[in-house]
Amino acid sequence: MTLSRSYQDEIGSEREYELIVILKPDSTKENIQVLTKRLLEMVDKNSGKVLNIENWGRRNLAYEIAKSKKGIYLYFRLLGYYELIPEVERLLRMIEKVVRYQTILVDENVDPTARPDQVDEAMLDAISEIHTAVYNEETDENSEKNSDDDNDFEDEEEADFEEDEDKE
Amino acid sequence: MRDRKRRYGRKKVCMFCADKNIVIDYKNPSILKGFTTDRGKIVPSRISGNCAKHQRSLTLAIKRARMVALMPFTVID
Repeated sequence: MTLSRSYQDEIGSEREYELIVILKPDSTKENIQVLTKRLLEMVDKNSGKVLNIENWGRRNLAYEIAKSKKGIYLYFRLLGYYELIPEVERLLRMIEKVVRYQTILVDENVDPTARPDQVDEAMLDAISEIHTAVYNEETDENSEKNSDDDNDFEDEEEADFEEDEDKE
Repeated sequence: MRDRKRRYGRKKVCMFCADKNIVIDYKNPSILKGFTTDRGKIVPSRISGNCAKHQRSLTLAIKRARMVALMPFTVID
């Protein structure tokens, strides 16, 4: 399939996508393994490639999804034609444990030979391990650093309002 | 009136133009959080001082982060 499917695309190029999947917090190792296996098959069938898979572990959600404040994040990097995405999303809708997914176009006109496939058996094993929120601590640290900026904005906002009152 | 307005504050500089190393990415909410209010609203560029180009990519990143629950839509006390 070297044919380019869209006028936007150059001939012989594919598109790179980022996919984030949120699973219910009670999902097991097997759930993740089944999901990744079915996804890999689906991508294969549509002559795409999975470039990278990451498991971000069980993290706190910013708001409640499906009556739960926690979720397991999976991150995929895909390469393929645009027909791949509706197929993948249809697959994700069929899996009960998936509560949310989001696909984002990272790059168009990617040469498929330039992006190596890094996924192997060991990696599939590693991503099915569920870690609990290492990332959240990191973000907390950074948010403290940024809190000073926040205050700055607030002050200036008030100043702006005062100006408006004066005009009237 | 004009004169009084000019006296307010120093010239704001876009944080992302000043430091080219900062990448606006929806997967890294720690940077994005600096540009939202305590309530979770996006701070307008007139207040944060961001240039139009970076404000556009910033709002897009915040909206994407909200969809995957990395950032809140609203914060209710």
